[in-house]
Amino acid sequence: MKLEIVTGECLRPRRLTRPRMETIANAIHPGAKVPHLVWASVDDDPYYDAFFFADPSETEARTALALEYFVDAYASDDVLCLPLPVEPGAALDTFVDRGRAVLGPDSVSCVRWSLSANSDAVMIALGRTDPSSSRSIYLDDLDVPEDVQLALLSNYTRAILRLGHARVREATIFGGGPRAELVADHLERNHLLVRPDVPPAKILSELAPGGSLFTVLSGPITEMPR
Amino acid sequence: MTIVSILIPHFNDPDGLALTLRSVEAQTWKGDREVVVVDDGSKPEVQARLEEVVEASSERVRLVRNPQNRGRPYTRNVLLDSADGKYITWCDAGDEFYPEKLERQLEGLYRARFVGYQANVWCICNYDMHWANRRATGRNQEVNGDLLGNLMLSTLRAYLFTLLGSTQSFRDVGYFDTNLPRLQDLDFFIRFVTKGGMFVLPSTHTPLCVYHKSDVGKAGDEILRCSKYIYKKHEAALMTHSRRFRRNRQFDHYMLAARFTANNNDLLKTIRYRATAAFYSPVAFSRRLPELVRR
Repeated sequence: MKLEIVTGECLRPRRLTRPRMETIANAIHPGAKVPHLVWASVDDDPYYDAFFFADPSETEARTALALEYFVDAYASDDVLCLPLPVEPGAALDTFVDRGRAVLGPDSVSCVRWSLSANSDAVMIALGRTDPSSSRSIYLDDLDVPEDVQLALLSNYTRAILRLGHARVREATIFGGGPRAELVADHLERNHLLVRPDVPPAKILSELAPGGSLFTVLSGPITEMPR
Repeated sequence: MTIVSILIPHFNDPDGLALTLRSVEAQTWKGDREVVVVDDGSKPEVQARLEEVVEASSERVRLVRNPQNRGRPYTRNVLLDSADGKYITWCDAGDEFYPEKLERQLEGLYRARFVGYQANVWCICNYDMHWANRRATGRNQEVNGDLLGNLMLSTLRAYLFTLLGSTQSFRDVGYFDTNLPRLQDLDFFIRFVTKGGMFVLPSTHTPLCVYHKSDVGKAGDEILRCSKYIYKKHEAALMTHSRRFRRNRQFDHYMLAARFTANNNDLLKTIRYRATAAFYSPVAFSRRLPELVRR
């Protein structure tokens, strides 16, 4: 059994449905399955962050349970895509290490799904943690339905705002506190997205003090949230 | 590594076994599994067909033979000893699993562990009861509240083929009681419950298997003897229930025996058993009377 752990900013906060996730997984790995863990979530969510956002004391037991389930529930020649929309870090490393211990050293890999090479470069420029820990796959090569594209772009926009906010802190168009989330909510309500083809340098300059997001959005913005 | 062992006792019914094996082959769960068939001394003329059925199956089937007919509980004990899988499920030759059974029940077991069940847990499912010449009807299993009471009231039916559980959890219950040619599964369930066992349902309420039921050839006397034996064996546990509850179970024993004798056209015994049932609980009998008259 091969387990491919999928991370990436474009997976959240707007979550893809299971059929959509399966379509993308299949386009990348023909025959790949997104494992059902309906026993671990209430709504057949294809994401597995229940294992990460639980009480830390439970994380280890839950991880062990999930890996045991994969062995029990799937055939030995299956390829499983496991969407884990978390940043690379200790929790993910632990999951990968445990996976390798249970399934075999070559049976677990990590892949980052990005919209495109450009969006990947933007994320790296904005300071995404540890971009080298996993290889990237670009979704713009795939025939992705429009609703999925919109969801992924919306997530990309929010990721830019979050990373931008963390990068430039208070001296920015965002102001302080949860301003980035407010702006992201506002843009989403108005169907405004950061264009995926805007290069990293342009994004960086517009997020810096004195910059303006207006020039990188998919449409004109009439007002900013207060 | 074998994940699930599917245990099938067989006696003189190779076509029933073929039906069961086809339902196993159709399972949506494709993990590593084995089918263990223990033939309980079937007639020599059946053996060739039995081997043919086993060889025709795409499943990994292990055929074990009792040298002579030893009865269902003994055969189930042989099956229990033969299982190599991490989990066990059962199916009598002639009954069927629906395609999602193993997948849904495995999920059910994991859900139980996910929410922190520590005790021995069996995942039990709702099932269809298909009497010969009638339409199949769904039956729900009641897994909440007083499990012993549910078993005695038959709101939780002790049918092994509705279960999936760890092999260890079945072995912890012990062997099937060889004094019980009938209802040994009820005794097995009661022992599981009295040892602290719990049941969980899968995420679906739709039936996951079907019991092709017939009373033909089954002796009412034997059923009555077995139910009385079980009642006596577990009397201490049953003393936690009211006197009325226990009297009503005596009523149930006789009504069950009467059903078997009626279905085998033994009118005299049917009347005798129903009269005894009425003695134990005239009220319950009067409630059942319109249905009996209608039949």
